[in-house]
Amino acid sequence: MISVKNLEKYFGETHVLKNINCKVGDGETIVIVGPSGSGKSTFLRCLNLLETPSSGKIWFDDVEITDPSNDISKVRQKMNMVFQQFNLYNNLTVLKNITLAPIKLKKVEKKQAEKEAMALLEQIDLSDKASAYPSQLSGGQRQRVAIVRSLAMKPKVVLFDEPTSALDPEMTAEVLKAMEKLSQLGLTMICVTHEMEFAKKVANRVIFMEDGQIVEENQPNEIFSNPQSERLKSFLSKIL
Amino acid sequence: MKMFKKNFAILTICCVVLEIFGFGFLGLKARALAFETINEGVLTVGTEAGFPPFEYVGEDGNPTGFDIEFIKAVGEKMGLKVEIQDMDFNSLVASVGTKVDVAIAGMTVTEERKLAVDFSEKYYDAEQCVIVRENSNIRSSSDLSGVTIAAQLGTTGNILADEIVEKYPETILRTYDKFNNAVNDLRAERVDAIILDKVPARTFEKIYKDELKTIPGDEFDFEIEKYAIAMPKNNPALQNAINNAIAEVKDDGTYDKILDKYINADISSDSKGLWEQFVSSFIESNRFVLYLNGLLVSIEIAVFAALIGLALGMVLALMKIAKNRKGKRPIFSYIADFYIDVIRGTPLVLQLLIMWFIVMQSSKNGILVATLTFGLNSAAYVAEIIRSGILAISKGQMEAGISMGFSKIQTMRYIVLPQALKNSLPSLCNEFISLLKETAIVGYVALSDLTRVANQISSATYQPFMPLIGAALIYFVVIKLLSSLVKMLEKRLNKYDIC
Ligand SMILES: Nc1ncnc2c1ncn2[C@@H]1O[C@H](COP(=O)(O)OP(=O)(O)OP(=O)(O)O)[C@@H](O)[C@H]1O
Ligand SMILES: [Mg+2]
Repeated sequence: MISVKNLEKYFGETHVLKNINCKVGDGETIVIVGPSGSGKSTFLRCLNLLETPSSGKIWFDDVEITDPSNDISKVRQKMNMVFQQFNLYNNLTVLKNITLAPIKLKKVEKKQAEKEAMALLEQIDLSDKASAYPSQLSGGQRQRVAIVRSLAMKPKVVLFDEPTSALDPEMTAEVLKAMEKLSQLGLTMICVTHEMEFAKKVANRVIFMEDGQIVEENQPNEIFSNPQSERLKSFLSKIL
Repeated sequence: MKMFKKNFAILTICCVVLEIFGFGFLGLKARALAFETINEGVLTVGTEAGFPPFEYVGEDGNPTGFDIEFIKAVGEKMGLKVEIQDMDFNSLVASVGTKVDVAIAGMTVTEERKLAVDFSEKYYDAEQCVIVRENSNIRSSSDLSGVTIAAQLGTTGNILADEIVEKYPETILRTYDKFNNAVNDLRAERVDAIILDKVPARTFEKIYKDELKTIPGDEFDFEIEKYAIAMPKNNPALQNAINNAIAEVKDDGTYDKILDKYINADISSDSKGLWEQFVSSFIESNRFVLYLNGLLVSIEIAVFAALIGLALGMVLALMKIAKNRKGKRPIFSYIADFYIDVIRGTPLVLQLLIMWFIVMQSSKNGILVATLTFGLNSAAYVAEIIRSGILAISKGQMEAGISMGFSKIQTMRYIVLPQALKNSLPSLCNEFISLLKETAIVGYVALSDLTRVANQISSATYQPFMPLIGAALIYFVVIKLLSSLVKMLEKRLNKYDIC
């Protein structure tokens, strides 16, 4: 579904991503781990062109999205992103946060969009907050809304960039539970996180990044119980 | 040498003798010999102190004004002390020679009055005439019906113009601070005739030889008012003495000084009590209606200008922050920069005058020109407010929109701009408030806003205090009201504030 070839990214002089190659299959859940500053976020943001790659190519469903002649907005409708800081639209209610994109971009009837949004809110136990504004929600609630906002577009892939890092443990659990459910439903997910338990339990594959490179890539039990590289070993020893 | 000494001695003796007889110093007071006054050594002058700037009650409660100073100067030349008696105008003529020696009261020489009194040489010519364009059909009073006429604020011309408007309600009157502006508007066909004093009229006629012509005021039944001093009949000695004194006052420049003081400059007088001033400034002839109308003009201009400013300011702000694919600013972004710089770097008054006299010279609609000017001006300030409002919205909002599949423009429209506007709302309201205050200069394009009305009334009543303070108070109340509304709004907004 996604394939990345020779991806390079520079911020000015800083070489942030170094020759990244990777493939993500349909319905896979990929977890990206690595020390701070290793380029995980940048990699994720390159996948939907929030950052423009310096060189290299990215395909999404056989469309080369790095080709400027392709409409990236169309691609992003199918490949949403969930942010560490939630980034709910602060000027809109929860319900409108969810229905805005379906109504404006997919031309879904307002009634229909709202019905679907309510159903999604039901699933995360937030239907009573439909008319609340983001500022009136807790962090965990916001992140769950952000996730269903993504889902309302019926995307193929959702990119998660440390979705629980801004949350306290209790709320983290709420959000991880929701994500696990999505994984089981077969959504393709690429997820940067420090939640190793989540990685072990949910991920099909774990990618370890360091210094802008993919150092190791394997099934979770292999990564955690049988790390190959010294770098991964020392990383794991620090966090586990 | 001897001879001279002798003559000198005789002269001295003569002087002493005259002195003894009470005739004062020879050269100056000898004239007094020829006539008598009611009270010896005193010229008793009758007037009616209700005709500013010629005569009115001064700050100290005594009559003052052009006539009063003039007659005092004349009296001084005659070697007499001048005493003023304020009386009803109707009884003035009858009092001359009995109650008073002479009368001076902006009194026009008429045949009727000549039966009762003699007059001195005229000392003031109030002659108004009309300037029109060279090809104008205006020839007489009736031609002024339904056209636009102009006058300088507070002049006799203004009074005549008011009368014309009263007579022909379709006639529009515009008043100006400067004749120059009125004449420019005449040339631009914004007004069709200007009523003004013959002296400046001739000057303008000379400058714009082929464009403008002057029609004498008598074609319009404007009376040429010759003001003269009334005195008892058949008293040539007094008449001569007065006429000589008038000539002297004129020759030595005193006359011109008094003229400058009272006629050529607005006079100010706080003579009346506060309550009377209040009455004459606000209540008399329903003047408060004028203030309200003026306030409405100010508000109308400010509101529409604010709408223009908001729309254009938003566009400018977006132009200014626009980036192309490579992250560089496009050319139109710099154009917006330039526009904002120019507008903010030049005085608003000049912008208004440039719009009125140059850019929109063919427009006769002052409200339109003023509204546009203020709108274009406000846009520059609004643009900066909105721009910083947009920049204050966290980058995450834009990224959230984009990553959902919205274009940058859609994200701007649905998500960022509404938040930016909401956050800028207090600043935008404050911009509106300062806009409202800034409309105080629209008098430059002959609009009667609140400030202008206050000016007009202070010139009509010769009392700057009440109208100006009153107008300031009205501004203050309106603006205080608005700004407390803004404060409430701000509190409301903060209540639902965003993380
Ligand atoms: N917009 C930017 N401009 C310049 N440098 C950047 C920018 N964004 C990231 N970088 C740099 O790129 C490197 C990788 O950053 P990135 O955010 O991808 O790391 P990360 O692995 O997500 O770290 P963390 O776990 O702390 O989120 C860092 O050195 C960072 O300083
Ligand atoms: Mg990161």
